[in-house]
Amino acid sequence: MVQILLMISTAIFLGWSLGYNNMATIFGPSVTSDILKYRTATIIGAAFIFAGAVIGGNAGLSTMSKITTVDFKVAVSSALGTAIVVLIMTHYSLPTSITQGIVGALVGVGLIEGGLNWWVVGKIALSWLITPFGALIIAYAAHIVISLFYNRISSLRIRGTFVRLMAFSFSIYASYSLGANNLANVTGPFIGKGLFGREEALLIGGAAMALGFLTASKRVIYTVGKGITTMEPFDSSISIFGAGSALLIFSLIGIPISSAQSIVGSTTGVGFVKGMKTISLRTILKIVTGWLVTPFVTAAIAVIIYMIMKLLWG
Amino acid sequence: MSLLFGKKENEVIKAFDDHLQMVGKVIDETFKLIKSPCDESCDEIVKNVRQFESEADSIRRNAETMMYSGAFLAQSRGDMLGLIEAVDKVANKAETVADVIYLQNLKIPDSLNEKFIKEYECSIEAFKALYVSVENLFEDVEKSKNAVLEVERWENTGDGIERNLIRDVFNLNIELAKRIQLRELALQIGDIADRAEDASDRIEIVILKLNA
Repeated sequence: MVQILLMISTAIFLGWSLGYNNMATIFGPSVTSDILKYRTATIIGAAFIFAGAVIGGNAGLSTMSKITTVDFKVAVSSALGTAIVVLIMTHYSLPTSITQGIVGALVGVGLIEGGLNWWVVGKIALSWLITPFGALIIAYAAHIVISLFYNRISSLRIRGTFVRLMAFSFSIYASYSLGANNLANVTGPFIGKGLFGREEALLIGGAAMALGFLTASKRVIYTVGKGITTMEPFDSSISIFGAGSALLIFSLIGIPISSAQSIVGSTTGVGFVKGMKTISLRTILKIVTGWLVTPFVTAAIAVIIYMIMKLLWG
Repeated sequence: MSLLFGKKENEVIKAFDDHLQMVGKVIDETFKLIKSPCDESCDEIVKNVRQFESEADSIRRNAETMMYSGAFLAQSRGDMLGLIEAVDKVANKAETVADVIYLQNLKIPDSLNEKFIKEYECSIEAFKALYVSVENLFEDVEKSKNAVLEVERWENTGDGIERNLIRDVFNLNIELAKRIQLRELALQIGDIADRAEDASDRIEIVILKLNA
């Protein structure tokens, strides 16, 4: 009973922090541009991230549970280690990624216990390299194609409606894609003998992420949203679309990727079209350092938690 | 959902139109003071000018409140607020012209009357082009762009008339104080077109920012 409660609460904690951290990135531009009200955004976002998790989250679950041989201790230590690191790094405004955290944690514990599937680890690591470039290309192409149509609209009123609809629908699309792709990070490690069944994993993970969206703070949405919307709403919507597409494509092939990497890639893609510097080299270095550090730190913390659990449960 | 489909925008666009009409009324009413010498009807005209200007102010304030309550994307709201305020300044200037004539009991010499009328007509035309430009800004950006050029053209024409007029004023054999008063009037009338041009400059910026 204690074990089940611990599994559920850890999964919910991780799912909640994932939803909480990503809500601002996805809906920030819509809320700060007054396209959606804060409460409406959280409710719509929660509904779609849940739908994404339940409808499209299945494929990634298998990948995550295949990184190493999972049992109760491996699953809880990895998820808890990741949640703690992400929480600390977010608190200090350091860029981080839950995907890299959880994979790092599973690899760390897997290295101690053996049974690491290097093929799956390699596949995931490769996807991390591809993600920013994939999102960049999608955003770049989408910007060119949509601009062709948008620039032909001669009415300011219709343009306004077009941008609103675009921001609204791309935010929903990205919420769905995030749910479908990142569910594996939340409950993937818990799939296995004596752990969660697939349906339980989908529902618990989806509900936890939705809860994260619902409780996302208004202040954070405005802070993050305003940071993103130094771009025009048209551009920020395309950048959200690029990130959402990368997430959706990888969810279809069952590889969980980082939403943060996707959004950085797609924002840079939009910047290329506009011939402007959307992100400085210094910011990129800070982000990349965060990404590189995260897997190692989570691995270390997860191993410590794993050792403590081993002492407690044998 | 109304935020999504622009219900509030339609209300603001309507307010822009009402505001332009009221500013037009201020300008037309002031024109009466230039066309005919001030007599008993002057009180009534000036009263109307003040009333129309005040109504224009209140329409502008309503539009601003609507904008702050969520009409237009937050990023373009500043441009729209700037535009309606710039249009409002045209009405303020027309009211100033009325004041210059009424409060100083200014009589335009017959020899210069035609020229003052011509200068004022240029300002009216500049404002009419501004009206077309604002009206089309929401529906047809190309037409709006063309009208901006038209405002500029009328402002330039007005400038030429204004310079000639000032030269003529100082060639007249009247008291220096009267010359200065008439020069002041010529400058203020020219400022109506200048302010219309300032507003059209803002439209130009809105249009430039439009392309993705």
